Amino acid sequence: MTRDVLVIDDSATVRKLVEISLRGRLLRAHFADSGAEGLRTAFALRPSAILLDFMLPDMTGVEVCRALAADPRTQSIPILVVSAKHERVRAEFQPFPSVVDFLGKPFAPSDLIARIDRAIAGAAGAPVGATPVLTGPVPTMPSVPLPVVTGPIPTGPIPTGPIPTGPIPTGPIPTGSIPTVRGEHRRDPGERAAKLLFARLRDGLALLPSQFRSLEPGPIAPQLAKRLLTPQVVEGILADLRPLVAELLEVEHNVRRPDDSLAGPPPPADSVIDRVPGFSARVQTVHLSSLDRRILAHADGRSSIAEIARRIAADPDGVSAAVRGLIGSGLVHETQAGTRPRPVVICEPDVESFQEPLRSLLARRATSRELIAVERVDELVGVARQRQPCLVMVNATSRVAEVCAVAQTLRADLALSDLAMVAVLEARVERPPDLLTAGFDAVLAKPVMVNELERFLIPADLR
Amino acid sequence: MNLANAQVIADTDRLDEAVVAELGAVCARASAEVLPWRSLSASQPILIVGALRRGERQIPSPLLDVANARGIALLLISDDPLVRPVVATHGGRVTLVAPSVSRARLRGTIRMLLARHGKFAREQLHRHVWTATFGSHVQAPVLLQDSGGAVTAVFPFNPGWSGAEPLSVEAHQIVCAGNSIDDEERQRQLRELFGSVAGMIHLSRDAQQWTLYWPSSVYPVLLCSVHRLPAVCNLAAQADAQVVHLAASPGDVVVGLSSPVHLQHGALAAADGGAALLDDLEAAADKRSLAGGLIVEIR
Repeated sequence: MTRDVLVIDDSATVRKLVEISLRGRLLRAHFADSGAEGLRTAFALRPSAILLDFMLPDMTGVEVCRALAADPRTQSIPILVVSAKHERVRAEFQPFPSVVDFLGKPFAPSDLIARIDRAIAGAAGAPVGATPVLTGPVPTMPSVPLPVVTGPIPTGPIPTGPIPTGPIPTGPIPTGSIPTVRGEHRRDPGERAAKLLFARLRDGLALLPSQFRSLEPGPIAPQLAKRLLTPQVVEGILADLRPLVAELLEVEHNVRRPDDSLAGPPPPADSVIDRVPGFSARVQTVHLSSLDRRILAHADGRSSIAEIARRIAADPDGVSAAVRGLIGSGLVHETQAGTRPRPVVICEPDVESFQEPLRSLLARRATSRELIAVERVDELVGVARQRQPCLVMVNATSRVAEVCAVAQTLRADLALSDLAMVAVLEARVERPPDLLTAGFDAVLAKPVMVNELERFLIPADLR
Repeated sequence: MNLANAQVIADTDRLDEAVVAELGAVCARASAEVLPWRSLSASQPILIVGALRRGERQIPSPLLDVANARGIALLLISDDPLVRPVVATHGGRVTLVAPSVSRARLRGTIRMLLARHGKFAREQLHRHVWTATFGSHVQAPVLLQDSGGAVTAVFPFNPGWSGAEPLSVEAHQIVCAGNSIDDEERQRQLRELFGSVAGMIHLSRDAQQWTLYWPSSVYPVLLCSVHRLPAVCNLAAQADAQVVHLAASPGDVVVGLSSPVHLQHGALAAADGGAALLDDLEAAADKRSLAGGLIVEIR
């Protein structure tokens, strides 16, 4: 019977790994990337087991456990807590009997499957971790003939040096620090993973007897390879490498500094640069220098590197070098000048008297701009991140707290660092709400003078 | 200015026929005579209407000489598109009109330049401001304009109230007091003066700021301009017996009524100006039934 396993983890990498691990087994994975969603799914689905991340964006694992334990529908579902610091967090789950196991990150798929099976079996009645009692006669081990190597003697170079005695090291290849992942791992995850795996394989091979070190970089004698790399050996190596893959994907998830090592030569000063699609998501995980930030603020698909250098009063060569790093990081790319001007986003209920005339005005300007209308304030952040407007206008007459929260979110978004924000009030009030401190550049009361908006549009035209 | 025999000189050779026709119609209402350019020496015009050909960037010398010698206003119909459809320059003495303006706008502009003449007796034109009172005299707003160009209008909301005229002077002084009193004190004094029986609109001397005291939300006071969003805004809803200040701008048209009447012509005022609105109001209603009101436009 296929069992449902709920995975509550905000890491796409972990979710993917679990999905791959459970594929082809009698386990069906369901996913939730937040505590709230996880609880909703758990209450509705009542899975056979729950794989729970210790730290979620909206709740901690402990809080999720508490909520699950409080509901009769879910209080008996076995929970496996996943954490990179599983030894440290163990004590925090002491009060919850449904937490049956802890899984460290990274984990091997085989280990994951075994633990899930154990947890489900435990919930079905068998004590977790109990050794099954075997009865009956002790089985005899079947005899397996050793393989006989036939064929000609290999003619390759004979390894020199003493052959070490003792067993060949087994078990997972030691992890240690991850070498040279900067920059290149942002270009192609597959290529990156392959390169790193190869490096790790090389490290692992270094632990093998010296005669086997000729595996890398020189050619291996075909017969020797055939003898050594049997399917079982290869499967064993791959099994050991799987947790490594998980670890590498985690590394991918935590992208670091921009690196210019693979971005080629610095682009010429007349190159026009623009932010890549999906810039907002990528930039969140990159640590940027002050210069990087200033460059990104002007990367709008219209400005050349020389213009950007002039505007931010920086050395053009330095800017060019920094742009090379940003290109290598996949944050910007060279583009053709004259791409479509950035739009204006508005959240204003007065469509007929405000939105439509504004749309018409924006269309008639020398640099015409599109007006994108959103109905609800909570849509603004998503639309702004996706469309990268030059100006956001929000009617702040009501729901001021929500408007302020949105303004703060937008203002904190590095990808929108050059965004102008204007709050519009229905009436001129004595003491306008503290919208300026929330991040708005201006608070305008109706009727708004068009030239007051031009103050925010003209700088965008010139960029 | 001679109000009895107003004459307008038109450069008919260079003007479009439609413009000449509109000019003739408006002049007829102002009891003004339209004369051709050749009649210039034998006439005493108050306005010369000419044309600016495409690419022409200077006022033609003959027009300029006459305008300077006799102190006459010039209306020039331009063949080149303008940023604003109607622009007043040279201290309000020269008015440029874009070729794309509507007939209503053209008629309104001519009407403004013929203020105080004929049927336009209740209209006044100053350097940058045109004002017009209309409707019933019983409840008409009292308009006070000082030599500096500042305008104060008091709107009696109660037909039996006779304090508008005497109190308009005091109200004018209170709003023109500038920084010598703060807004709170200004509000207190205006409230003491008018309570809820009258409203007041004031345009500052340099036409930079509107000041409004309007203790009623049922009597409309509209601010109309294509340079604003929204283009028509009923300030009565905003005022709520508070003194409200608003930045003023060329193209602003403020329309106030002393009657609780719903005014639907705001969009017309924004697009074609205050005089076009007045044309429309007059055409739609018998003058006696027209509610008392005032239009102020910054040129």
